[in-house]
Amino acid sequence: MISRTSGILLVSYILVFLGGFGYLVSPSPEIAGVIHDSEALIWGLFYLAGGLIAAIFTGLRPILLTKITPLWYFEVAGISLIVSANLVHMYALYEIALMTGQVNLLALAAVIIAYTLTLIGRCVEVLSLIRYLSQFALTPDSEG
Amino acid sequence: MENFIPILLSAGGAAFLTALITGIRSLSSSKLESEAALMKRLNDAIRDGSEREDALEIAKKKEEDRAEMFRLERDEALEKAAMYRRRLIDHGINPEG
Repeated sequence: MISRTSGILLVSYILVFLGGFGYLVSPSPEIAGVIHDSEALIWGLFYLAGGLIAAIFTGLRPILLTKITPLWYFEVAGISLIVSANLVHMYALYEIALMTGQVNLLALAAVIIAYTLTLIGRCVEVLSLIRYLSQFALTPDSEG
Repeated sequence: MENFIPILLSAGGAAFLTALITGIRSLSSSKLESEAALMKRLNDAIRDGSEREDALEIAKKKEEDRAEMFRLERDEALEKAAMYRRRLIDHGINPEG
C-alpha cells in the first residue's frame, strides 16, 4: 500500500507533469520573452519528463516492486529535472522583474525557490537513506 | 549571463543522467529484495552489535577488576617489603649494603 507521504508526493509530481505538458502546448509568455524557443521547449520537457519519471517511480516503488531501495535513485533523477526547470523559471522571472520593475514576479520566484528547496531536501533525505540501507544490502555474490 | 540558462539546463540534465545511471548500476549490482528484508537484517545487525558491545563491556569490567586486584596485591607486597626493610634497619642491618 502506498504511504501518505508517497501519495502526496505522487500528486505533486503528477501536477508538475501536467504543468510541463501545459507549457509545451501553450508556451509561457514570460519564459519566451527571456529565453530562446529551443531552450523554452527543453524547459517544458524537463517539467514533463521530470514529473513523469518521479511520479512513475514514486508510485511503483511502494506498490509493484515491494519497495526496492535503488528505485529511489530514479525519483532523484526526475527531481533533478524539475529542480533545473524551476531554477530556469526563477531566473527568467528575475530577469523580467529587472526589466519591467514588476516586484510581484520576485515574490513568485521566491515561492519557486521554496518549492525547489523542498525538492532538494527530499533528495538529500532519500540519498542519505539509500546510503544507510545499502550498507546492509545483499549483492548477488553474497549469501543471504 | 547569456549562457546561464543553458548551464542550468545542462546541470539538470547531467544530474538526471548521473542519478539514472547510479540507479541502474545499483539495481544491477545488488540483489533485489524488499526493504522489509533489509530492515530485518539491519535490526539483526544492530542487535548483534549490541550483544557484542555487551560482551566487550563485560570483558572490560573483568579486566578492570583483575587490574584492581593486581594493584592491591602489589600495594600489599610493597607494604610488606617496607615493613621488612624497617625491621632489618631496626635490627642494625643495612638492606642496601
